[in-house]
Amino acid sequence: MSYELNEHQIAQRQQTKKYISEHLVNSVDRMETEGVITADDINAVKESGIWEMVLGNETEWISKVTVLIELAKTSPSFASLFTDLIFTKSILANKYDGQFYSAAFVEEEAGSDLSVIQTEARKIKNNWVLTGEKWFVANAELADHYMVLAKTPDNTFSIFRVSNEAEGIITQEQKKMGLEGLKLSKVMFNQVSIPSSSLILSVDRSFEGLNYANGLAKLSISSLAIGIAEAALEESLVRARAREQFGNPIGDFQAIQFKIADITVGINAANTLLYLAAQKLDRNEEFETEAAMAKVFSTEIASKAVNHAVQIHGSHGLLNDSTVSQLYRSQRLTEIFGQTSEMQRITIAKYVIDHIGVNEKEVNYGLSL
Amino acid sequence: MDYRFNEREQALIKKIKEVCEKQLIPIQEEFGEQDVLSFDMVRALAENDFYRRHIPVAYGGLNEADQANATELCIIREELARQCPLAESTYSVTCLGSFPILLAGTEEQKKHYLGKMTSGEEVFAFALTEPNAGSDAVSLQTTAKLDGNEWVINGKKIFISNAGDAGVYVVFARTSDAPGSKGISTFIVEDDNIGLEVTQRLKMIAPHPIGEVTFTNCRIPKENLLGEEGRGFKYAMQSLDMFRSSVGAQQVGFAEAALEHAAEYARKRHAFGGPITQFQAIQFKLADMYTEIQAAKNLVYYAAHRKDLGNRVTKEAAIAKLYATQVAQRVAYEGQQIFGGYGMIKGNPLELLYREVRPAAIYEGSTEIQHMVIGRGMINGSFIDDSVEKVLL
Repeated sequence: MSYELNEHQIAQRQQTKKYISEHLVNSVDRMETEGVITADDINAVKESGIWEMVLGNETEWISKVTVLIELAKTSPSFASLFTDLIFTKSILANKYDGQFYSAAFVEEEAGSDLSVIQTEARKIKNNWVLTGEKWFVANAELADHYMVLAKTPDNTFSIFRVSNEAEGIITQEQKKMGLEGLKLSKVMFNQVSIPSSSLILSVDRSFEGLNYANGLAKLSISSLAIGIAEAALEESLVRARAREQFGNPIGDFQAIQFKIADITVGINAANTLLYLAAQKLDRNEEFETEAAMAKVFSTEIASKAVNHAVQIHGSHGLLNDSTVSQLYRSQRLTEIFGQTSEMQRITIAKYVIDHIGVNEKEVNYGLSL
Repeated sequence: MDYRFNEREQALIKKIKEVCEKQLIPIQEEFGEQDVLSFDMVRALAENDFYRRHIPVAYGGLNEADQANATELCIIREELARQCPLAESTYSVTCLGSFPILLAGTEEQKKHYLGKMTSGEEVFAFALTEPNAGSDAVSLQTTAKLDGNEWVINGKKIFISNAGDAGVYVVFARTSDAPGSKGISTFIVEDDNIGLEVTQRLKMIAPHPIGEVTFTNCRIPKENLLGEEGRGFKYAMQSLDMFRSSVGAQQVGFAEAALEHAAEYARKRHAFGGPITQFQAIQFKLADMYTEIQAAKNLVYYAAHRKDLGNRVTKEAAIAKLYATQVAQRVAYEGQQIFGGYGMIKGNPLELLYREVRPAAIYEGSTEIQHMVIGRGMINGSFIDDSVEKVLL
């Protein structure tokens, strides 16, 4: 039983830190305050090797989540780019061509329950024709392609690759809270005609065909949340040491110490759940329950962490440009994207109801219960 | 990184399961809830080599590495707590009580006392807490004064597990006026010493042999000083450091038992036309119980693993104990909630578990003390290390 990185994984984390200190730190303000992430930023992260590390097939998930946590600690917005990319790349599988895809799955009336989407694809001669309106599409401006979920004949749902240059697409930014560098858009597809080769994958109403990709998305959002939580803790520690009230650093007071303790405990607990899921994934074991646990736990501890961080900073933490207020706003999305906390709990509960206490004679050899 | 137990650990888990089913659970069932020690349980634990596992071979144990193994200690406490709580407390109290002897005893003391410990001939008690010295153990007031060839002990110890049943008490007392912890030393006191009296047996929230021990001019041989004079507090803290993660393991064991019972019951219990597992109110409880237990378990074994690697684990063990005790309380509460009225009836496993989980949030460093240790250490930077392999804070 251990939770330590091996030499190779340590080297990958060091490589990430090097990229962060040489490149990313210089862009953080622009990304998090102005909300501007450019194609140059993407090129820089590609050149650094980090892009390939996070999205390539050669890297273990233990390393990927480690890299994502480091990125998120510095720039949550930038790290969040990868969470969507990890999902779309997983759906593409061997059709992945290194380009930038944006998932267009969700609609105004279809979030956790994708079966009620209205977007439709009709086969007309050799083409598919897409019509519908997608909401909360991430990074529409940076994307080369949209990955669109639509209803297809025979009660199936299919995922299509749609070039952002295709005729009949209108995008409209949806301003939101936090993660300034992650742009969300409404994307309207009006009779968009695409070649039949655009169909990537078809699934049935259960959407079980998306489980694996969803599991990866959970790991990446969990990493994002832990990065945010660690950044909030770091800000809190700095503040607790420096800020004096009543003649002492506020860190001398138990009111502050206990908050710090709770965040520290929670982040460590979240970390073990995330790395447990990552290990199971790397061993090709079932990991969906673990991914759900990691996701719900780490996003909720991140919520506590940013809340405490603002409290420890007092009014300074309310100023829009302060790091903790940015973290406070940016954290919120993690409890909703990559499937809501409620959906995670349903996944976990299903496992518990099916397996726990069913056969009390069973001996548990792994760390999993 | 590897979340799995190794082969030796898996074999241990399997063995505990077998022994529990064959011997320990029947003893517990017959014994019921009593606030005294079950000597049948002591014998059964000894027979099956439980007390031997962490004791070096030279003193009658099975531990070839000659270093106490925190991971094994956690496995034993978790599995016993989950399957047979009476065995768990019978095991752990004697292990903690005798641990200072293993830490600081002379060859002769170790051979003599640890021999009696591994064979189950004697059970041990760890006598640190006093009526006015709990979390602030340094302020203890029991004194030991050298008089010729004897130490004379005076004072009162409270919340001493195995009081009245122990053959050997490891007692912490002040031997000088040196400030703080420096004046504290450790002594081995056998129960038949005149002047050692069990002045109260205490009835606790859950069944447990525990009481108050009063020392009145209790004379013990000079050589019963354990280790060096003035280092007693250090031995106490080192012992508790070794056991802290395992308190968490015990709590994980209780929580697992609570979840297993609750899940099993929830599937069977029908309301509003179906099993209550159809309701999200129940589903979400089960999901949170499971998630938190998994996290607690990870933290417990992480702390034990770091300890076994030879690291200081002040932070890790505090985190494990703090979190596992909180989780066990929540899980026992929610488990009882799932059982409804049945969970309140004597004989229902949740009724007992709900009480069993309570003391650990207080003993061996209360929840408040763990918060203090973690929060203060993080803020003053004393936990910062530069190990590049760690992914936990």
